[in-house]
Amino acid sequence: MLRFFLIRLGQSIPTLLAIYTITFFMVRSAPGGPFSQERKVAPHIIEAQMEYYGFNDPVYVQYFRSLEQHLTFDFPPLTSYPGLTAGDIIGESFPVSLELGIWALLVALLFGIPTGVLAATKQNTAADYAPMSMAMLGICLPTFVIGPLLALFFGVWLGWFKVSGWFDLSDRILPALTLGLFYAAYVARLTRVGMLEVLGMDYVRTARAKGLPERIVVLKHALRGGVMPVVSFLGPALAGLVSGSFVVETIFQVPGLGRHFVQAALSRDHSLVLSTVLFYAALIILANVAVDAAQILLNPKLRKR
Amino acid sequence: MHFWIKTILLSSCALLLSSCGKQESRNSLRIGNGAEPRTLDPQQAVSLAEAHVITALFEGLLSEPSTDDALFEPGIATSWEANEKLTQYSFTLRENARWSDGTPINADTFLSSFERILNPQLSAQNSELLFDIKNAKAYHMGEIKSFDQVGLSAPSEYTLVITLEQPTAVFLQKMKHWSWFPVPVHFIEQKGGLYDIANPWASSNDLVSNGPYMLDRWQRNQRITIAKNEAYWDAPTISIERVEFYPFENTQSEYRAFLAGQLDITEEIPSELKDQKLDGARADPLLATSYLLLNNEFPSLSDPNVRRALSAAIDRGKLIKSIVKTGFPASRFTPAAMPLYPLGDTSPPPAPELPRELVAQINANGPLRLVVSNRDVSIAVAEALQEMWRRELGIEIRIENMEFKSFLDRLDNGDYDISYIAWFGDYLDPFTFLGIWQSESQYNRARWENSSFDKLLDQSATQADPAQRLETLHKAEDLLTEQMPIIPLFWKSKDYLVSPHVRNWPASLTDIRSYKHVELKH
Repeated sequence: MLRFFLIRLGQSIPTLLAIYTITFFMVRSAPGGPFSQERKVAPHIIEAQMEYYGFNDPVYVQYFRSLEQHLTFDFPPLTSYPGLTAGDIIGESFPVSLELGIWALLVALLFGIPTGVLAATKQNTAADYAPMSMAMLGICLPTFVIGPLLALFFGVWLGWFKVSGWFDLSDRILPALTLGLFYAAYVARLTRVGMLEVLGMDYVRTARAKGLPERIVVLKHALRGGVMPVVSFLGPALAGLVSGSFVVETIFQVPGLGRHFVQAALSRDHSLVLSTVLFYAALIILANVAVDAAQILLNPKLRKR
Repeated sequence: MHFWIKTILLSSCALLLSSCGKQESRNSLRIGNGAEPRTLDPQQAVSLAEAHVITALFEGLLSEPSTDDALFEPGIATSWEANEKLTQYSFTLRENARWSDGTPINADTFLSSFERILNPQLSAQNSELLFDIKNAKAYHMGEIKSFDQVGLSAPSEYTLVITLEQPTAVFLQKMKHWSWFPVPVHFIEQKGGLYDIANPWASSNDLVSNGPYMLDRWQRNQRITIAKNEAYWDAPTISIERVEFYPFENTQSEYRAFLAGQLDITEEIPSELKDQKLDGARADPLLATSYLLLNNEFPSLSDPNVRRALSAAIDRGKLIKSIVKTGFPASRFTPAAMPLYPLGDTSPPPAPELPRELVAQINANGPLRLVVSNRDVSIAVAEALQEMWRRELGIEIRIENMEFKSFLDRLDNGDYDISYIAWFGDYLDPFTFLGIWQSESQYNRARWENSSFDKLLDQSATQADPAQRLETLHKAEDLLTEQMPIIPLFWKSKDYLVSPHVRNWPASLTDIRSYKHVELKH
């Protein structure tokens, strides 16, 4: 197991370096600079700011300086928030995205898995078609439609929740639902497929033959194998969930990382773009490693290899 | 499994219950504020979202008026007088002005503040607004090393004398701008270098300020809370204890927050609702003009007749009615809302007939490129213009739309033929509109030079007699309308929502206002 982790982490180093290099040159090749404004800025002022942030140095100097800064976690001041660094921004906004992601994940699993199990056990009945049609709808309806609808219904009309903000615990519900329902739809479909496959297997028949109640057969014997597709889907999904969703964060005014991720690119904040991309990449790598580990734990066949 | 399900169900119930104890915000004014401010440093801030917070935190020599008709009222200065030639202004400061940490404010505070914004190291964008001060520009450009040569002096502890480059009639108007606010030099130095661009003083929660309010907490991308500053000299007149600024990038989200009672004032109305009669909707005229920026160096557009014909072919009323849904058709560049600047006869000169050969020649040069950003309604406006010009003149246009920074890059490099953009005036004088089209102005992206226009504006700057000066500015305006290096489209207005609880919310032509006299009635 330890060897497995070491190999996977070793593989991630060249990946991250490649991502760093591509991002570094891509942000610099985008037209427009961090200091241009709607009201034209005097050239000498742009020049002085470029000098201050070190953008006038040769590109290779900037490349290695920025690399060193990321390796030592010693980030430079940002152009879009003078006085703050990428470390400050990620440090204050990632916990928010993480929390929202966890709530959304709970929503996804709480709605998704039972629905999928139910649909699989009642295959080709109304109890299968109805939730699966809903799930299809959930996948097709983008968050920017669901979010405002939920806000309008529960916030403006019913007045149960605030329509935006991230202050009280109750402010978590609408964004978590919006983000989670989309994933719940996927989880439900994947659970259904996984369960259908497992329910037809010999060991399930054996369990039934032993006279076990159907509830135990489904929840204890079949579910463990049936959620495998969900587990492998969760890796990238988890990284996507916790790294923040620009759309949901904008609709509900959630101060998460997703907004910075987009805003940094729009405002040409080179340093913030690099740091958030690398952070996101590292998250995806970690999540995938975690999923592989989880699959090994769940599936004894993989352990022997 | 069962244990987990129970835990999750229980925690969801707890969540639901906690939402019931909603807190009502008492005596705090909640304002939607558009984009998230980049900084709260008055000398480095450039956007209105930043200025909305800064004008509550800081106060300059003069302050925003509390009534709609006054131009300014005393701030840190109690009285002021100008010499006869209007080249020197002397201010008497109040002796009870303090920073929020108790440090007294005197004339030296202003000297060191002005020294900071003009210092080339800080490279402040708005330093340009202080160039009326004698030698200020030379100091900023590094031509003069000693600040003593700049026209600022403090003959006594509470007297500040400002000497100008030339007579400036609207000086008091201009210096109301936030770039003229004092900054807490002692606090800035405590947090880092005085001229360090990235000094974190203006984003720290213990920010020291001198205005009616002080920073309570800045929760990035959530809200900025400011609380009444008890050290403020006029603290007893302030009735609202706290003001909260919420950044809303999405106007629909902001509108829902207003409907749900989470906001008292919005920054905007979603563009698709601007023509509906919403409760609490206000449309305050702004000193701002949307216009078409023309590249006057482009051969087809270097002919004033072509530019006039393009302008005459635009049905501005139709554009407003069907697309932008706000504002007024512009017959000249300076908005009609400009105080003390009568509109006069602004019927544009009769549109010339464009000979067919000329149109053919323009189209032969390839379609004119109309470069727009992908923000709000720009693309819809561009498409309507394309149609109007094709129908009325037979001139073909190619629309190129792009993301905002790429768009700015195209403008700065002159890589466009026509573009759609807006200009916001800084102060209540036509010069803030006309001045940008002088050949030497840094803001002149139109690549247009006209020596008679330059001369008229230079002349106006030195005219001490207001009536004479306005006459000169009118001449310049007429010349601009006749030559049409840019095509004015609309005079903008600020469309937003104000809750009925809010009293005395002043209209403002520059969208900068004092919150001192605003009250909340529940």
